[in-house]
Amino acid sequence: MSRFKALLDKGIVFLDGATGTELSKRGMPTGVSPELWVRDNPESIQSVQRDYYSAGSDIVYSCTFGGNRIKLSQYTQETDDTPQINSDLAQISKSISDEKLVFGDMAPTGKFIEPFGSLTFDEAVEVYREQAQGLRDGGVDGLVIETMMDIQEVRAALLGARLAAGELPVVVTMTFDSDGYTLNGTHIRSALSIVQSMGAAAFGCNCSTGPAEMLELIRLISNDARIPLMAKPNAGLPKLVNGETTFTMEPDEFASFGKDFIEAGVHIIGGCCGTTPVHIQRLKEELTAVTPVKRPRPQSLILGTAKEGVSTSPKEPMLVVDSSDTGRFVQCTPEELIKSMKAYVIHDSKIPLISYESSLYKVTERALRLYPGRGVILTSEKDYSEIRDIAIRYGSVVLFKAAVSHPLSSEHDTVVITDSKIDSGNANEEGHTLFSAYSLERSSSSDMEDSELLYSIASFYQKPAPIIVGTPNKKILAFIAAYNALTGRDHKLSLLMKTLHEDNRIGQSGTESKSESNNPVYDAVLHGNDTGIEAAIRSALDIGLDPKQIVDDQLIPAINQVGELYEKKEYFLPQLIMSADAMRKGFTVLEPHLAAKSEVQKKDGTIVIATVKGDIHDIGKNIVTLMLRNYNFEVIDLGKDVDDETIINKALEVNADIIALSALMTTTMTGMKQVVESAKARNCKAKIIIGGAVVDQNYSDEIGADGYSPDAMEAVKLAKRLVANEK
Amino acid sequence: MTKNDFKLLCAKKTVIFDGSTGVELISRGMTFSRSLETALLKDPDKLIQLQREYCSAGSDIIITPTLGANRIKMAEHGFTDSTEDLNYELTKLSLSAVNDKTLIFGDISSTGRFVEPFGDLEFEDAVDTYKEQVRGLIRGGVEGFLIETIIDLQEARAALLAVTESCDLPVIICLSFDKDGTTINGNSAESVAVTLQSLGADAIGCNCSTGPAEMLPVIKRIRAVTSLPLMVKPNAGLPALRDGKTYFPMGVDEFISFTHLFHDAGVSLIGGCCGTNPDFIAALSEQCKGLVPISKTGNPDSLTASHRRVWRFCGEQFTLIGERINPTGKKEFQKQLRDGNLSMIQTFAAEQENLGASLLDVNMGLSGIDEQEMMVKSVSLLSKVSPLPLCIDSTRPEVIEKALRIYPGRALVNSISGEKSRIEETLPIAAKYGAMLIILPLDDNGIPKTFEERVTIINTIIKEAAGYGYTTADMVIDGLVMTISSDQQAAQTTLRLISWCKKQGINSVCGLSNVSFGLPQRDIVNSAFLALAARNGLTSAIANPSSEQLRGIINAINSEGCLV
Repeated sequence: MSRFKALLDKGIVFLDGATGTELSKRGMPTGVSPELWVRDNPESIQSVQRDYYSAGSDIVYSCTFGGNRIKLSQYTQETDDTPQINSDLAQISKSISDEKLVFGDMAPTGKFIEPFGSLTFDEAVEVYREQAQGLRDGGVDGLVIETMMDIQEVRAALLGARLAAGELPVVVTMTFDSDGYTLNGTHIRSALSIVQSMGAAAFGCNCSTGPAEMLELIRLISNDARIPLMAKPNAGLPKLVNGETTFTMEPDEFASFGKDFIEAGVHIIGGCCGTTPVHIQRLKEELTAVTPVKRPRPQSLILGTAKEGVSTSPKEPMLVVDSSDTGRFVQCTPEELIKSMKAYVIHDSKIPLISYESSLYKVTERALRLYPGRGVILTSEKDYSEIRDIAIRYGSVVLFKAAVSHPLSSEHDTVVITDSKIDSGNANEEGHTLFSAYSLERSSSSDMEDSELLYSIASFYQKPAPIIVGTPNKKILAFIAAYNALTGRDHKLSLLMKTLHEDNRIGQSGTESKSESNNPVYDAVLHGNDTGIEAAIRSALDIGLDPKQIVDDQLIPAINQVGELYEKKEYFLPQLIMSADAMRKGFTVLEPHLAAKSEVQKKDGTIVIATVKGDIHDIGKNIVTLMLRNYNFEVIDLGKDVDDETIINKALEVNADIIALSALMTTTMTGMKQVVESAKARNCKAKIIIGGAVVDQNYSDEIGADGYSPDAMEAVKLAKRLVANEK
Repeated sequence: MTKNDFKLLCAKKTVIFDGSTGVELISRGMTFSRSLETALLKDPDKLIQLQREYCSAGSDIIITPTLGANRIKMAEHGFTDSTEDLNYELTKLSLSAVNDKTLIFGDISSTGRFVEPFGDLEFEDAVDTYKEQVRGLIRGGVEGFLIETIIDLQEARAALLAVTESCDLPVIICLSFDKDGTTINGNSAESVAVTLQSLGADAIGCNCSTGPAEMLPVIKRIRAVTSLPLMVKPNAGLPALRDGKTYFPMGVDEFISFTHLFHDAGVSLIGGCCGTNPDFIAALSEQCKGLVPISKTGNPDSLTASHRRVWRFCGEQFTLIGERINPTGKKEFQKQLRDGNLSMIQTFAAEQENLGASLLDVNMGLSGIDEQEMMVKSVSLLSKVSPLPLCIDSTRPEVIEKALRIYPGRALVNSISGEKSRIEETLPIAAKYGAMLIILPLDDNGIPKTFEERVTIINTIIKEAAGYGYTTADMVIDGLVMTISSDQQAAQTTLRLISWCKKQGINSVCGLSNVSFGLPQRDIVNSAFLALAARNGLTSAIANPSSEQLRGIINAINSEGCLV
């Protein structure tokens, strides 16, 4: 058992904090290569690391952050000394480590790898292999690849590390913005899946943000990680003081995040820029009695790509693997292959699905190596042994064409096409690595009727993380979208709406899609982006827009546009609700500003709304309330099962312009009539409008109401009309 | 005799009835100018003699000589006095003939007219006619009733209600079936059994029309759909003509050679009809000594019935309840209903039947019409024009009451919820007519969001309904799916509830179209939900069968078979 593993088994593992700033304190001049300076002044780093060890660090990093050949070349001509420099630096730390551990630090080269830059992937692998070789020779206990933002460079470093030091544990930490993406646009969840499938011993984040923001990043991957999670945050967000970037979070505050990190699943923790031995000491004290949480076994399959990653899990849509394009790499030249991979990386984020045949070992190996994510190999049990090694090396997903006769080892994610009629209990018996898939091709070959196929697919939804392989037609895709939505796998129904909507347009003359503006506030409402509207409004205020103007020129026109799209059946209820939510959030942000300028918007009218006596149905009423409020009405919602006296009392009390009544049953709709009569009897002038599944315009006329509306949008229009007539 | 005493009796021994009365008396020289019933009052000796002979032959139950003693039938003979008194007198006659060990059951039979919706006799007139007869029989001291020789299910229902609304005595009903197991009115053996069992009959069977050989397959069909005690009272073979006179050719030995076959088929009550006499009964009685009836075991079925066929929930086929006979959202239909025009109902019924509906939902909730009147009209019309059983869909107890009362079959009531009014008003009505129930998991606090709350409500309703004799086999639980466009958990909560129903062995139903409210291409979403729900154990759905998508999924469900 490696010493690293033994440490993990003991409990939370503590890393060191910042090194550079500590070295400056010990006399390192600015502008030098820390690696070369430390090599000449070993006692400096040893002093820093002794402090970290005594503060409680279990592992310190060797001073080799910039120790790769490309970085070193900025300071020295003698880059061939790279292995020796790394070896020396490793020994310097190792010599004072006693029972503690030293990890050899590797970080970005500063160059982009093709297709974005000139460095070839193979060159990058060699650069890291060389550095890892030196670190290993210097006696490190493991390797850390840190502060990475290019997933392709991470892959190169992992491959290089494995070539040079296959026996050492390699951990990876990357830097992400608070939105979860690296600067290069790789999402943390995708990165996790690539890194863990390639055999890293731990994964996490370092640098880039303070603990609060990093905590949220870690939470994005808590449920998907099969390897220990790491966090090495900065001491808060950077501030400019006298033209210099400084980190100001005090040790106590820094340490106060410790427990949250552990709860989020972090097992290995330390500090990055701005942290000191005191930060680490306080962190350790904070976590004295705390042990790492045992996380449930992940049920997700993530096909990591350079971008979002495609995934499936019990909470996510069923993964549809389109196999119509397999064999794309068959018999192509290396040049063509590299061109193809470029297309994959630059133009779309789809996963290469390679149908493996014996003669294609080389091209398969090459494609999987160059693809900056996890490729998928479609193979048979017979051919599996030939590609087993490359599948493991590149963390590929192996997709078996048919059920396998014996359980596979858990060395990589394996998807097995099973018979959907097999009990779903088989699906995950090999723990986290065995997923079952349903093949459309096989079904259609047996002349399965469309509906029977669709019904078969439904059975597949009882499995933890279903995958469909084949060439689905539009109808199958529509059903899959519906299955996803109905089983809670489609958050906010966005995929369903997209699928059904696109499908809708087939055969229709190309109507222009919704007009877009370049206005983020308008767009946020239009697209129902309730998380983005706050920022959009704040920046609008920051550039000096008048709050009233934001309401009149952006919020209102946007919600009107939403209403129009709804009427055109381009938008449906979910979008309506999402936009209404965004609108409401927008108002919440604006309200203090409007108040400050004593420009609180005058409401268009006051409406008292209720479901009538005896009737307990209120979903429709609630939707109408929501819409009326978003269209600037003061709405007093009296709830359900409300008698006429209460309604009229309230209407008189607030001098309501309108009373809106709902009923869903023929037995209760008579309650509406009573309200109309009471209103008359008590001289209540409010207009009365009605709605609900069983009432209609006729009924409205019959009981002497002032209007009827079939849905929420119409109710808004009706209310506006009635109020306008009044004035 | 209480209903329970009767049940125990039927379980303990094969109960022997008497044989022919009218035909036998005539063959013994009884003559009469108007009706046999009035003649017997004047000349009771032959009857008393005959009934004594039946007692000696071993009859456990003797029936009163009141077969035609109802007001309508008697009026044909010019009898205009009280039939209550007539029945009273005739009961007294029989009582005077028999010993203490023999029970007297009041005999009731056809008025000779067809009852609405099949004929012109109003249902309530039929009930009243029978009630008058029943009063006399009760006053005379009968221990129970035999309603027999009836060919119209609706008339049987009227007679049965006349008894159950007048007393708590046990009632046996025997209809006369042709060889093919249907009555002349077209009522199938299964429909008759399911309908009358649910309406409160204590035993069911067949009499007259055919001999034992022809009756055997019919009784087996009845056994397949009911666990009630079964009765046969066959003629002595099929009638033949000799010298211009009808006679029954079967001898005693041949007649009783069927006894064991009837016993094996589950019969517990046996007697003879036309052409039999005390010799037959003596032989029968001898043969049945110590013969303990075979009771039906296993779980009860979930059956609805029209007067022509039954529909089994959770059978080989998925149950599709056609939703179209409902004015909500149908402008043209609304207009027609307001004009009192029912033609679209007929169209909807035929269309839905052709497209594979198993039941028809009927909802007449519309402002500006008299829901009760229109419901009764619709149910009557549909009973005639469609072979599909009906699902009576109304929120108003009085509407459900009228519909169930007139409906010549076993309907499904849509619905009973945990709301106080439904439990206190609708449930007892449904129970009186023995309708199947759709159970809606909501109560006066509204529709619960969580699965657990819904199960709590369902269990409460099951308990309440059990108080009326309902078992879960009589219930179909509504998964109550709400639209996913406002709550994305909605479908999953329902799917979970459906799985729960499956585990409990209770049928489930869903109004599919709710799930897609507010969404585009609702057809696809509805059908996808159906597929998922069926995978979770859904056994029926309320939907529009005209969706090709939906029918495709239902075909797929059926081709996989085995819903349970």
